[in-house]
Amino acid sequence: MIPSSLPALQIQGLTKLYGTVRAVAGVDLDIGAGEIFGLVGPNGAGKTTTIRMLATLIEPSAGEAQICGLDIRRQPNSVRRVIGYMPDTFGVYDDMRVWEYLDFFAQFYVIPATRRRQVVADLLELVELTSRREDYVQSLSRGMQQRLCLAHALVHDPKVLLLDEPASGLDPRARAELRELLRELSAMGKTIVISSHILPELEELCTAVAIIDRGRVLASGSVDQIQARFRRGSVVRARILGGPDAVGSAREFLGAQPEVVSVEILSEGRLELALVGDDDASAGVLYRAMSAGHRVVSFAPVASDLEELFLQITAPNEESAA
Amino acid sequence: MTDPVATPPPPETTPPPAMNDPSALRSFWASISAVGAKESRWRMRGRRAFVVVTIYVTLVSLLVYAVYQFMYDQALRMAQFQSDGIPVDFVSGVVSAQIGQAIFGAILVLQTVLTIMVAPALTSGAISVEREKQTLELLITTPVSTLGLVIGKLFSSLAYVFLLIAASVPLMSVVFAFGGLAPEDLVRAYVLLVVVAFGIGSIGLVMSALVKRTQIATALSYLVVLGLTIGTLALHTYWMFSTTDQENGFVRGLRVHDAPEAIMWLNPLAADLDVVCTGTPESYGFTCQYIALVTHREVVPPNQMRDAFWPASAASFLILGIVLTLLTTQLIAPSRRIWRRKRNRPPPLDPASEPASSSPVQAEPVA
Repeated sequence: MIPSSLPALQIQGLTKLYGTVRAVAGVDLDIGAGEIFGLVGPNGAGKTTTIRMLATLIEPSAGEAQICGLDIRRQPNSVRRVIGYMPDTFGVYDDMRVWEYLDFFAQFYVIPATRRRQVVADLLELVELTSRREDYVQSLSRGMQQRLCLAHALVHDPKVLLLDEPASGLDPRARAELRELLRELSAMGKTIVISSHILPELEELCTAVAIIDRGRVLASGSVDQIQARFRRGSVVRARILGGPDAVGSAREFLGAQPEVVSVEILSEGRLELALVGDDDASAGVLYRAMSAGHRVVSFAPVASDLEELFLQITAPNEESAA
Repeated sequence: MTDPVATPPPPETTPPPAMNDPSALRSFWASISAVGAKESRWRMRGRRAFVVVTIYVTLVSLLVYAVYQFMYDQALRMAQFQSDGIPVDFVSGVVSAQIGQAIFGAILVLQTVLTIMVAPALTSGAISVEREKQTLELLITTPVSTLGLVIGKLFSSLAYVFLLIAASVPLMSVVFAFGGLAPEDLVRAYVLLVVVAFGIGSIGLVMSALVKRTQIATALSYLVVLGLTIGTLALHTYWMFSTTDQENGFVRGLRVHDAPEAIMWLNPLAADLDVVCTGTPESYGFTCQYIALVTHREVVPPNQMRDAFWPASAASFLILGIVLTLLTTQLIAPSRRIWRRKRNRPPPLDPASEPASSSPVQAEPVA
């Protein structure tokens, strides 16, 4: 789905105060229709408070937000009809069957009984719970409950989904299933706002992210854009063919390159390089190493790179901390 | 599924119309029906509900039998005494009526006590359990009518009390076999029971919305119920006796009219006494004497005292129930209050304490 140029969510100066504490300190964001937008930040950054304000659960202390053109302050009930909300922690009712759970929520949207049956069947199929239709909700696994909760947010076919840490507490398989489900929903045209405290988790999924810390947006855009904007260097792992001599010679050569800050030998011909500069700089180092006859079989940034970038963006300034 | 609609932002003064909003009334009924069906299903699923009803009906039957046996034995002894010791094996119609009236009074008081004991327990978890289970947020982000939600919760919680009350109707009808009471006396009794259940149930409901933990909400509800029963009685009695006229240290007379009747309006047991008195005015027994004391009336045998107190009491419970139900809708979620707080202007930014200034990265305007 190609994101539309018109924003589905417009947030201007959204602020939430608890006493004198600013949980959210003036967030400005435009989120295009059809986007999967990630709100990422450490715990306590203000992600949940922002999502809860958008979900009309708490009132902003200041600022404005429109969802599909509807003002969250002045038209909260209309906003509730265009959003589907899934909190980070949620409970389930005892003594309620899976289909009853969805039917219960569908009733609040005044969906006629005959249509409700079809909606419930369709949603159970979407979240792959059709075979558990008659089971009690509390008997489902955490991942299944998470999918059921997502299905509950879809009973009224909302245009915007607000998902607060939907992957928390899930095992890798359940996370992958959830990611797949969210992609499917995005393909259906839903705008999805999803929060997480792990940037790499959102990297593959989101079309854009905003990094939030201490109530403020520190950076926003696609993950690539943010990386390009903020990365001051990268850590690359390389593997060199040949014996210890070849590896030692490669280390010496690489260490002499101006872009390389440090080189360490890990094991079995593997080296870890700290580089300054962007991807062009890395490519240059690789080209020169190959041209000099070093047999490089792999040369790739390490996975933690993005996490380091995140830590770098959200790191507190030592001076101000002191 | 539909394509997302990106509506251009509206002008500041004219918010866009609500999108396919069903009428408030439809939303209200849908909310009552959804919550009511869910709660009733939860309470009635399994055998527990039916076992409790069976035990309850058995206990009421035993009470009816005990009252009947006690009154019958006493009447026989009295008749034997009046016939100079000649054994008798029947009682007069008057005695039969007295047995009916005694059964009526006993069932009414038992049901009232049951209602004020059970209703708070059932309603004081209605909202707090949703908070504890973290399901309230899921409800509040739907377009659920808050009033519909609260009414659905209240009446589905009270449905169990109403079921127990209804289960007693056949036993209560036994009084017609003895005579001495008219059908409208039973109507009075059941009207009173229903409004008492509503009023007392709403106390549990408001506590449930006010306090986060169910156990505390239940304890507070019982404290209020205790205040309404024993508390009002104690206050009223103290008021009466504290205004006793004294002369040279001796009690000259009771000025009972100084204790306001309104103190007792929310005492369901006092209302019971008036319903019994209304049904049996010719006896001028304890019930009528007490109501005369509360309502400051003269008890003179030819002047029948009917409906002297309970209508005011029933109206008070009704008003209490309505007020507390509306209050609950305002407590359930701050973002759904009718009178929301005025927008706070955030305090001016203090650059020294601002998080953004402490970050190595400047905030980016979003493209």
